[in-house]
Amino acid sequence: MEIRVNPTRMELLRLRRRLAVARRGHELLKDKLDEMMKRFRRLVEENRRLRLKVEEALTEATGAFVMARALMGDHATDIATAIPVVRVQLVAGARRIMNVLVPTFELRQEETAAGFPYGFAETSGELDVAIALLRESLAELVRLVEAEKTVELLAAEIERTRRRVNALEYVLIPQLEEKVHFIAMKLDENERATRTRLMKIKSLVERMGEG
Amino acid sequence: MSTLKIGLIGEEQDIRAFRALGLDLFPVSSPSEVAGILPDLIKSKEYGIILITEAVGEAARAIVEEAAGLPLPSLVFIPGSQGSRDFARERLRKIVERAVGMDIFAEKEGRV
Repeated sequence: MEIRVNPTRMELLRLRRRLAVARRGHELLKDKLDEMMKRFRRLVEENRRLRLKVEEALTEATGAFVMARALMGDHATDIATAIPVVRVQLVAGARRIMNVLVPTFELRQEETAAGFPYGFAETSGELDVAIALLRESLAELVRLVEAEKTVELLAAEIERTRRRVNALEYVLIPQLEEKVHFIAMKLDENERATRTRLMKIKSLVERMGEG
Repeated sequence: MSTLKIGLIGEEQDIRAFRALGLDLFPVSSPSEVAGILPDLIKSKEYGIILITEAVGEAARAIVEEAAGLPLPSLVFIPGSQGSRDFARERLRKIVERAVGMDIFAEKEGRV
């Protein structure tokens, strides 16, 4: 690689300062990366656990619903579920994990009517079970959504940070080191050249004095 | 703090049950329709969570990945009435792999 720097003392000092800053930055970013990785692993574990739980719960709930439908007929089920049992509302907030803004959700379930909005005479018990199961799994589902989004966002941030750490480690810092080395060599060389010149002149002057 | 809605996209028979909970349902008859609905839902900013059943979600993969970088809305795949297809878990595994690197992915792979 070609080095384009002025081999001056001023430039040398400037580059040394930059190198120190780059090394410090690298260290900090690396610490940040390690910590993010630690939390990320925990979050992924939790996400995995939640997903399994939710998938199981949802499969069970929809299974119960399909059962109720089979027992009651399509039309009756549609009528029974036309009015929601609860009014689901989502309150979204935000929190920071390692300076990454992630959303938080809070589920509010407002009962629309007292209990179930359909007569028990026309519906089967399976429907009540299915709806109760769905309500339960919805709360878990919201936790899962939160966890999954957090993992997604944190993953992106980890990738970004790692790219920066690598850029510092493998590009910027070696480049700066090389430049510093180059200038130091050049300055040393200049000094040696000056010294030999002075010695030469001195011996010349001495010889002239003798002669 | 803001109040948002939950949307649900899927085939009619998979999502019908959720009407009892008062979610906003968007029934589709084929996976290709998802790509027509989803961008509008994301742009409307009214939804905090958009659930997509795995059965129709695969077609909208690109849109979901694009929205993954935004804080809102959260797009999540849920299993349909046929049960889980491992599609969402596979996706999570890919995200982890990309963020953490190959070696740790292999370690996870061995454990699962």
